[in-house]
Amino acid sequence: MRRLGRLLLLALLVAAPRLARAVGEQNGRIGGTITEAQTGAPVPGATVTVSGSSLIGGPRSVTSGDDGRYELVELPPGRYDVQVSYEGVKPTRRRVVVRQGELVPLDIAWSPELAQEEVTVVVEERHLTKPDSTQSGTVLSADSESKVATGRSYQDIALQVAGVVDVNGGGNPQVKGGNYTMNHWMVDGLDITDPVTNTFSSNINFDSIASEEVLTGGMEAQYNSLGGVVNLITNAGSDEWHVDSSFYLNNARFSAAGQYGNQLYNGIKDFSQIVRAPTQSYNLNLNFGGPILKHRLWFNFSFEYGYRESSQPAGPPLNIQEPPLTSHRFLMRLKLTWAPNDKHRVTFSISADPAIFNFVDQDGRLPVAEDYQTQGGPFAILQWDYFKSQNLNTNIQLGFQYNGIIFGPQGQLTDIPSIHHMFSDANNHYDPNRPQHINLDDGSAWYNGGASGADRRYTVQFDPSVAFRGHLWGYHDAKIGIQSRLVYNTSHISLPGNRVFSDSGGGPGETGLCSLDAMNMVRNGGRGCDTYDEQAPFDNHRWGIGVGLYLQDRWKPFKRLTVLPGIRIDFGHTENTLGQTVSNLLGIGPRLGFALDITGDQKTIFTAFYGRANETLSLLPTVNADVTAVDRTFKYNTASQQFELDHQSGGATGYRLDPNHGPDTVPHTDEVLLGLRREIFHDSVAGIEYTYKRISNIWDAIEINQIWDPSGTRVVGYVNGTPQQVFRYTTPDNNYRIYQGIDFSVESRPTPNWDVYAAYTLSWLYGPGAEEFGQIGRTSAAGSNSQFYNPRQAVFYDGFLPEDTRHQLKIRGSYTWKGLILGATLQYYSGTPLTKRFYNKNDAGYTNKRSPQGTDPGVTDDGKPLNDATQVAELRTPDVLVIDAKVAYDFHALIKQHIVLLFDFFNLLNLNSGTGIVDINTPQYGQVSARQTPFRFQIGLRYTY
Amino acid sequence: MSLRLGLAGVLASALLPACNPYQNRDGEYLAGAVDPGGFPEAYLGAGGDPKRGGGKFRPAIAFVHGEKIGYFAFPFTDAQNGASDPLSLDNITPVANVYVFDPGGPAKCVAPKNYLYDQRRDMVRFDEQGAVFTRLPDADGYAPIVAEVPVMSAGEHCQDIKSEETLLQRADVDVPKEGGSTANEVINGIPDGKYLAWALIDPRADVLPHGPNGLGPEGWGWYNHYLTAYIDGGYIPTTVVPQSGTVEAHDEIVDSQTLYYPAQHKKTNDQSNNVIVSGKPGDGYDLVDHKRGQDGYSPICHVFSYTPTDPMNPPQSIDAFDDAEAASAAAPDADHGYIYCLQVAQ
Repeated sequence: MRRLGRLLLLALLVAAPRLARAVGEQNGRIGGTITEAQTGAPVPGATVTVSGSSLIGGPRSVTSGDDGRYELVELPPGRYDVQVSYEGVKPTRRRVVVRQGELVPLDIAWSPELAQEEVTVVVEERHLTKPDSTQSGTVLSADSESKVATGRSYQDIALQVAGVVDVNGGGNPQVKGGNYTMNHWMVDGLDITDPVTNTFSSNINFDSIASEEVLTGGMEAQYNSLGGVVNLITNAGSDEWHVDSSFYLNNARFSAAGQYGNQLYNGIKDFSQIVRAPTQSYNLNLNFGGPILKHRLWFNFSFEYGYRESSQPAGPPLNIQEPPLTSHRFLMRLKLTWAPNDKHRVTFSISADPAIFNFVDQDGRLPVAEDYQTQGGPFAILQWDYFKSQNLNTNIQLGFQYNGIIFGPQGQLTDIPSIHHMFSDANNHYDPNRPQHINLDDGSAWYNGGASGADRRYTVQFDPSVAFRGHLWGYHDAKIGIQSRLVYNTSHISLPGNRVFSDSGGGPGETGLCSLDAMNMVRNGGRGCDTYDEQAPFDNHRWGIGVGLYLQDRWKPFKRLTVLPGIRIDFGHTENTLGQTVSNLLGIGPRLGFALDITGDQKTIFTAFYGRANETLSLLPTVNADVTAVDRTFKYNTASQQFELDHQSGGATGYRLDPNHGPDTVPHTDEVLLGLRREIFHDSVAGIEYTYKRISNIWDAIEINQIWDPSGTRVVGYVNGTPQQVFRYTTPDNNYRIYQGIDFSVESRPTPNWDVYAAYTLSWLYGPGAEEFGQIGRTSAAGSNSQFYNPRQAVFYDGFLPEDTRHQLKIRGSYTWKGLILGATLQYYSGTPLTKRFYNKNDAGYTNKRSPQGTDPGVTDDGKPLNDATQVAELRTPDVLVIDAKVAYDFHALIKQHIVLLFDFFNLLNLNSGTGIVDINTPQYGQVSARQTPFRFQIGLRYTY
Repeated sequence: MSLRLGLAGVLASALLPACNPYQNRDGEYLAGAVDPGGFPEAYLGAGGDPKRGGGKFRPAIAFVHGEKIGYFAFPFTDAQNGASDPLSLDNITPVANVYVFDPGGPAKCVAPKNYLYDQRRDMVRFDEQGAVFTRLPDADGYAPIVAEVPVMSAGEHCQDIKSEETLLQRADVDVPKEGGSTANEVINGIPDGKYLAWALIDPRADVLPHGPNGLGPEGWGWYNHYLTAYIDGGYIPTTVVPQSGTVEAHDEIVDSQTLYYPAQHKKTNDQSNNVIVSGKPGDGYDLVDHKRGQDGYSPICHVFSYTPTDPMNPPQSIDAFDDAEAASAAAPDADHGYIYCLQVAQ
C-alpha cells in the first residue's frame, strides 16, 4: 500500500502541469528566544507548546535550542496559547494572535518569579513588527472587518491597505504601480486569478473568510506577481460548534438621491424632478461549522445569497423605463480539515459562485435589445501537510477551478414585453435571427441584443513544497517548491443573424434605421443606412502550461539580522486555437532581503529588499493573438444604393506572433524597497516604507499594417496592401511603468477595545505603459489607448499614468464597549490623470491625444487651440473622500445570545465628487459624467454562536 | 520614536528621484500635429470640421493654353479685398517669416546612418528638413504669404529643428538674424526679400491627387514644435511701386496673373443629360495665363468671367477667345477680384 502511495505521488509529480504562479502562505509562525530573566542567558531545552482552537490535531511542541531559540511553524491563523515549561519548574503561558505569513515575535525572559505570576495572567499579544520579513502590506482579519462598514467583499476591503487603489472601480485594484491585471488572488493557497483576464475570477462568501493578507511588495520567492497578492484564508471548523447567520437589507429608500448637475461643483438640486433610480440589494448568509470527529475531523459550511437590482430612470433617447438590472448570486463553500495524527493534516475545500444577471446594459434601451449574463463556477482544493519533524515538513496542494461566462440577448430567457406598443412589432418578440440595429444618430439599440457567447476557463494547479530548518553559519528556515498550473479556455461567439447594423443619417429613433427587405435589398432610398458588420459564429480554444521552481531561505547569521535570499525560475508556454505558440517565456527572479533588528528586542526593524518577479504564464496575450471570426464591414454606397464591402478584420491574418522571450524581455517587475517599522506602544506598530518599482516589457499588441498620415488621423495605406489591421503580439521594451512611493502606516490594537489601521501614501506612477491589449484603458475607445496602435500618437504616451494617485489616506478604526460597536473607515484619494482626447475620423472616435497622457493641451480664452506646448497643463479628476461608519449593538449582555443589530452608513457625508469627467473634445468637455455613490445605509441582523 | 519616524520620512521624501515624466519634453521635442481648431474654414478643406477634421483639398481644373493643370484656391482676406490695392503686401500684417532650409537645392541636413524611409514608422522623412513656420492661420485675416528666411545646413540632423526659437539658437545652421545683442532683445531671422505662397492647411485634411504613398502634394513643416501641413504655391513675383501722387503709400505689391471662367457651361445632370448652368471659378473650365515654372506665373489670380459663345464647349485657351468672348471678359462687371491660385510643382 505504501509502495502504491509512492508510485501515485511520483506519477503526480511527473504528470503535473508545469506552470509558474504564486502560492499563498496560509500559516503563520511564533518564534523567539527564551532567556533567563536576570542574566539574559539563553535557556536551552525548554519545551514550548502551542495550542489553539485553530490547530487541529491537538497541541504541538518544540524544544528551544542551545541559543534559547525556538520557532513554531505552520500554524493556521488564530489565537494561540503558548506554554513554556521546563522539567521541575512551573510553566509560563502567553497568548498571542497569529496571522498568516507573519512571525509573531515572542521573546520570553523567564524566571521562577515570572513563572509564578504569569501562570494565571494571560494577556493577548499581537506583535506586528514582522521582524524577519521584508514583505509589505498587512493582514485584514474577519474580526476587524466585522466592526466597520464594508462592501462585504474581499476585493473591497483590500482597498484599506496602503498602496492599493481601484481607480476603475471594478474590484480589481492597482497595487503600487501595477495595473489591474497584474495581481494574484488566492484562496487557501489556490491561485484563483482568472487565466484569461488576469483578474479575480471568483467571489467568496464574505463570512467564510477568516483573514485576508494583502501583500504589496517585498515578496519572498514563493510569490510571483507583478502587482500585489491578495491571499485569503477561509474559516475551518474547530472542536466547538459555531453558527454565524446574518441578513442585510439595502432598500432603495435607504439611499439619498443623486441629483446633481454636470458641473464640477454643482451642489444638490433640492427640487429636481429626476426620478431616483431604484438601487437596492438584500443579502442572506448562513455559516456553521464544528467537529465531525473531535481533534481529528472538522468541517465548515458557508452559504450566501445576494439579490441586487438597479436601473436607470427613463430618459433620452427613447424615454422608456426599461426593466431593472437584477442579479442573483449564490455563494457556497465547504471546507473539511482532517488530522489523522499529529504528523499529517489534510484539507479539502470546494466553492461555487453561480450568478445570474438580467437586463445588464441599462442604457435606456428596449427590452428586446437587452442582454443577460450568467457566470461562475466551482473550485476545489486538496492539501496535504506532513510534519515529519521540527525541522522538516512538506506540503502538497492540488487545485481545480472552472469558471465561465455565458451571455446573449435577453430575449432568449424571457418574454419581451412591449413598451406601450410604442414601437414596431419587431421589438415585441424575440427572433434569434434578427440582427441588432444601433442608431448612431441617437445611440438607441433595436430588434435584438448583442452577441451571444460562452467563455469557459479551466485551471489545474499542483504545488508541492518542502520546508526545512537547521543551522549552518546561523539558523536557516528554507523552503523549496514547485508551482505548476495548467490553464485551458474555450470561447464561442455569434451575432444574431450574423450581423449588426450601425445606422446613421436617418434621424433618431426606429424611423431612422436602415431598412432592408427579405432579399437584403435596401428600402426607403437607403435612409439611415451606413455600416453593417458580418460575422459567422466562431469557436476558439487555447491552453497554457508552466512551472515555477522557487527557493527561499530565511537565514539568521546573527540574532539581529535576517537575510532573505531567494530565487525563482519560471517558464510558461501558451498556444492558441491553431496550435501556434503565442508565448514561450522564461523568467529568472532573484530576491534578496535584509531585516535588521536595530534595537535587539524585535521592536525596531529596518528592511531592505530587491526582487524581480516574472509573468510567464497568461492566456491574455493568447486570447488576443488568436484566429478570430472574419469580421466583414460593409458600407452603404449612396451612388450604387447598395452595401459594399469596405474592409475586413480578424481571420487568420490579423495577427503576428513573437513568442520567444528571454529573461530580459519577459514581463517583469524590478522592485527596491526600504522600510522601517517600530513598535511604538503595546501591540502598535508604525512604519515608513519607500518603494521603487519598474514594471517592464508589459505585453501589448503592435499594429503593423496601417500606414497613417503624418497627423495620425487618416490611414493612407497598408503595408501588405490589404485594408486590415494586423497586430504583432509581443513584450516591447518601451512598454513600462515606474512607481515611486512612500507609505506611512500605523497599525494598533492597544487594548481589546480599540482596533486601528491608518496609512498615508505619497506616490508617483508614470511611464508609457498605459495599456495592455486595450483591456485596461480608461477610455471609451478600447484599444486606442495604446502607444502601439498609431505610431503618430506614440509621442504622447509618456506621462502620469491613469492610475497615478498622488495622495492616499486610509483609516480604519473601531471601538467596542459593552456590546456597543462603533467603527469607521475613511478613504481619501487625490484625483487621477485624464487626457483630453480628440476625434480621429479613421477610428470614428475620440482616440487621439494632442498632449502627453495626463494633460490638456489648453485653449485660448475664446476656446481656440493654443498650439503652445509650454501651456500644456495636468488634467485630473477631483479628489475623492469617502467615510463609511458602523453602529452595532451585541445583545449578549441582555439575552446571553450574540445577536447583533447593525447599521452601516456609506458615504456618511454624502459627498459628491465627480468620479467621471468628460475628457473628449466636445462641448461637454470637463463636465461631470459620474459622481460618488450618494449616502446610503443598510440594516443588518447577525447571530453568532 | 514617532518624531524619529517623521524625520526619516522627510529624509526619504527628499531623496526621492525626480518624478516628473514631462521633463522629456524639454529641448526640441515633438508636440504632435498642430491643432487646426482655429483655422479659417478655407484652410480646413471642403467639408472640414475644426474639431473633427475630414476636409478635402481637391485642385481645381484649369487650362493654360490648352494644357490641363490644377490649382488650389484660397480667398483673399477681408482686409485685402477691402483695400484700395488688394495686392499690396501692406494689407498682410505682418507677413510672417518662414525658415526654408537650403532653398533651391537638395537637403543638406544629416540623415540617420543607413536611413531608409519607412512611411509606417516615420511621421516625416528623416532625410529632409521641413520648413519652420512662425504663424498659424487664424481668424484674424490669414493670408497664405510668407517671407522666406534662408537657412543653410551646417551639420544639423534632419527634422531635429522644429521651432523658430530653437533654430535661432542653433550653431549647426547658418541663418541670417538680427537682435539678441542684449538679453531682452528678441532675435529674428532676416528675410531674403522673397515671398512664398505657402498655405498652411489642416494637417488632417485629405489633399488630392494622391501619390503612390496615399498622400497628396502637401508639404510638411514645423510650427513651435508642432507638425504642420502646407500647400506650396511657389514664389510670388512682386513689384516695387514708388510712392507718388495717386498711388497709395506702399512700396511693394504682389504680381498676379489672370484667370477667366465661363459664366455658363455645360453640366451633366442626374438623368445623364447635358444642361447649361451658371459658372464659377473651379468648375473645370478656368483659363489661366501661366503654369508653375513659367515666366509670369503667380499664385495670385485676378479673376474675370466671360460669356462663352458655345457654353457646351467653352474654349481651353485664352488664345481661342473669339471677339465676343474677349469683349465680355473686358467688361467692367467681369472683374471678380483676386484669389490665391496655388499651383503645386509637378
